[in-house]
Amino acid sequence: MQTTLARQTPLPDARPARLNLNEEHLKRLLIWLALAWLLLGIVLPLLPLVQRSLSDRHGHWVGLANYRRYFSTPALSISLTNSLSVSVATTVVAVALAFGYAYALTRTHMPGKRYFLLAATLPLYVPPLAHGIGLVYLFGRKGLITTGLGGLWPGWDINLYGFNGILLGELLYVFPQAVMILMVAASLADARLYEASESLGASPLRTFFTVTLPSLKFGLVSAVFVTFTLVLTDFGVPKVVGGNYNVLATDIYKQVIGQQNFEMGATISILLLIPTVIAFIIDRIVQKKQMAALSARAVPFVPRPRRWLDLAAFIYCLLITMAIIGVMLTVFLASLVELWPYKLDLTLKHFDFSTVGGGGYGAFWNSVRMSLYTALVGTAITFGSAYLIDKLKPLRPVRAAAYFFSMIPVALPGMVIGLAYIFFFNPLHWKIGGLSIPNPFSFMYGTMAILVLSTIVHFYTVSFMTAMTALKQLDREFESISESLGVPFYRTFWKVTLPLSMPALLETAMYYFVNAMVTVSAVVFLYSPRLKLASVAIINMDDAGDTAAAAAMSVLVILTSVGVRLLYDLATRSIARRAQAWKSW
Amino acid sequence: MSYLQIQSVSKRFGQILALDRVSLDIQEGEFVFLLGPSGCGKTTLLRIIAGLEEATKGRIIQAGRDITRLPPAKRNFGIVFQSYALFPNLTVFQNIAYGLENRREPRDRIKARVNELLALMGLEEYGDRYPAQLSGGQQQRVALARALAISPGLLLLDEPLSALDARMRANLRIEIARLQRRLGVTTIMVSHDQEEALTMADRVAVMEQGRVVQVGAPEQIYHRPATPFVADFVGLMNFLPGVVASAERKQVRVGDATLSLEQDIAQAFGQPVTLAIRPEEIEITRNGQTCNVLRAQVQEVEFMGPFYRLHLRLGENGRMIAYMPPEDVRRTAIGEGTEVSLYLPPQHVRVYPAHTAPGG
Repeated sequence: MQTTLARQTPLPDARPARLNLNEEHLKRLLIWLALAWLLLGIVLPLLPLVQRSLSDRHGHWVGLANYRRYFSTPALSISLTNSLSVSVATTVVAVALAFGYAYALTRTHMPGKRYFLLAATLPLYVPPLAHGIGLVYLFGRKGLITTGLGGLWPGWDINLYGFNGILLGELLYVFPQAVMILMVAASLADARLYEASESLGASPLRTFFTVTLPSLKFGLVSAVFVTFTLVLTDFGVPKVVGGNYNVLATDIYKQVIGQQNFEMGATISILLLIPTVIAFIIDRIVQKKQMAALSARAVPFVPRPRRWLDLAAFIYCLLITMAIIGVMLTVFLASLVELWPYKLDLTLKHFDFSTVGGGGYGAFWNSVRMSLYTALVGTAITFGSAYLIDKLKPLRPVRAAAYFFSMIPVALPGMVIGLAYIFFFNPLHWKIGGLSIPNPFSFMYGTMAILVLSTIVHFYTVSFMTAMTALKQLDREFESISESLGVPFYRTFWKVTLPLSMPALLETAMYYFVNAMVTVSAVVFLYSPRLKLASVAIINMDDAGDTAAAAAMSVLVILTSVGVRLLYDLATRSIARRAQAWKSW
Repeated sequence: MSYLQIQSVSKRFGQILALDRVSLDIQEGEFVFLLGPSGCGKTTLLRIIAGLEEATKGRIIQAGRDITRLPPAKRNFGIVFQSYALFPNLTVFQNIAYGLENRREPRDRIKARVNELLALMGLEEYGDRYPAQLSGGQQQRVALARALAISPGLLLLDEPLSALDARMRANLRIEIARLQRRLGVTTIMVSHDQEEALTMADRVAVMEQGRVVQVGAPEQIYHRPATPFVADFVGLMNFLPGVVASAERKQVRVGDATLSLEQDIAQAFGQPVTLAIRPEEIEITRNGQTCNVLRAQVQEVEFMGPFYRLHLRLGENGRMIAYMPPEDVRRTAIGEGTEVSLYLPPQHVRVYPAHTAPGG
């Protein structure tokens, strides 16, 4: 070694042979493209929405007249009060229940934690409408519990249709999200604080109030606002069990689909946006504080066995798990019997959709295709944008704007995205002031492309943040190193950044797929009669009274999502071994 | 002409002036240190030389070519970061070959070059391993090999040793310096560790608050620090307040003693000055010398292994530190409370304007 001189081997030219003169231009072009798609998919479609809320049926400017009409029409304005009250109620109950569940999972020594965690995430694979259908089968007019198992027991009517039904259905819908936010917050706990508290002789109760609660403060606030937004903007549950209890999301649907009153639809959309944007802003502020409070040296908390607490936690989680699985199981059973709950003979006839409306298997396969495209295109576009924004250096203000736009979708209810897309993509000409501009994107209207685009945008922010987190974990000097070696950035992206981010990428694809399968709020405005979707078919069948068929379609959707998830877990377990060999060391 | 010329480079981040008209000439094959406390601008200067940051003002000339506005890919340098930034999903071989593969070189040429570098770094056995399977010191050498693979005209090292433990650091210090001399590659290393700078560098540029305050060989920096800041940052320095007694005869009054200096005094009679002397330059006697002597009381005696460190008190609130060989401490029976005479050899006493003493 000592005698080898470094320059013995004849060397290539001091600089790469093909100097890429256009690399800087390529970077700039790509960053502009990222901004362009965000403008097209998110920002621009919102403009005609605002415009329509300020116009009359003929497109004439009427100022705030629509808003005045909304508030002076009690039949309409009641939905604002309804929405807020049912959202607040659900948020309080859901966060309280989820807090207990997350506490049990992270801070106790109860058995079966893995299964309880799995059970808590099950509702993610269920279309919100299916929660409603399950509740109808249990608590509806002819429900199992309402009728006392067909007269065997005294019946119990909880008065499902309306406030109660929405509350129960939304609880199922938001529970997984609330649990996960709180679990992340709880897992950041610093064991040293508990040791200090104990060594100072504090009682468990005092420790709970002085250490546990304060450390979960930010998680709690975040859970509250996320839950509130989800409930406020959900359309599926109130559609099925809302009865005459009108809420904003169903009102938009009724105004647009029922009465073709797009202006009032736009007005209600803007009203719906106000609380979600406020919730979003508060959540952002709180999350920034949480980041600041995070100490890198925290020692992870490991719970010790405490017999009574563990037993109580176990019973608590078991009850909640039974409720979640009970409703799901009801949907499964109801789809498999002759006539729930009177004729319980097993049959597969509800899975033959040829006699009912909605689109049947065609709709189902459309949904599968749509979800696949969303997963593929969505993951590519999300990760690509995050990479361009985080890792490239040129055009800092453009990247900052792109980052900001990427945060917007989380505050946009699906209904609002759907309606905005109608206004933006449907017309052949945009009318701005007195001008008429040809719309180059109107060809997308009624196609698979607009369904995929709207679904990507709907679930964009969470995916974007996942990608950002993954990218920020990579050494920020990778790009500097490759520049110094004369290696173009796209090569390093392909050889290093992408392989290292594979777990996050697959997770993002799964997230898009599952959500695309169950989502209904944006696409319900955008699907065309030739391109029906499973989730929309569930609404239409339920509307038409074919509840068993709606249940059967829900079962197909759930099985597909869960099946894909299982396949994914199996596949990643073996792929991860090989593709990420470097990690096991 | 110098290989690298940094000409009056300034860098502004918003309100903060990170670099203030920095100029520095570096000869071909030289090993230069940018030394200074955190926030002094040394890393910013290195990143500007690499093209990872853009200078607000000034020019950088490398081998006669103005590179100030060139992107990093069109410059000619290799860089090693504090974190090494090794690609964790690539093997050691692939990491080192990374910059070569892009040049459409024949496979066997690349292979020969990588093997040569593996041998140079003593990593022959490790080509197939992943970075996570290597020790910190080995990772460091891989990062160095990757930077050298493209035979850069300039090697930039950004605190490459600071992530290692003390023993490893001392070993690699010698290895890197030896390698640099053997390859003759012009090298700039950023460090806040004065020991690293003194042992490894041909020349050291000491930086303070965005300016280069002194450039010179390690011995020069250590023995003739240009400012009290440099004196204080590089090694340990005692500072004493004094008043000029006679500029022509180079005499300064400290308390009621008069010290003679070798250095010229720029200040006029009666003006306050700051005197500086290193702990190892002070000679401690119980009587002995009569000229250039200050009286002091030993406050504490610390055993440091090869020597003792004496904490001394002069008059009301003057404090000094002096080193003493173990046999002298034993022979003279010095302990806490002992009154001693400090002989300050005239050739070692430096004089600075009074207001520039560090920490006021």
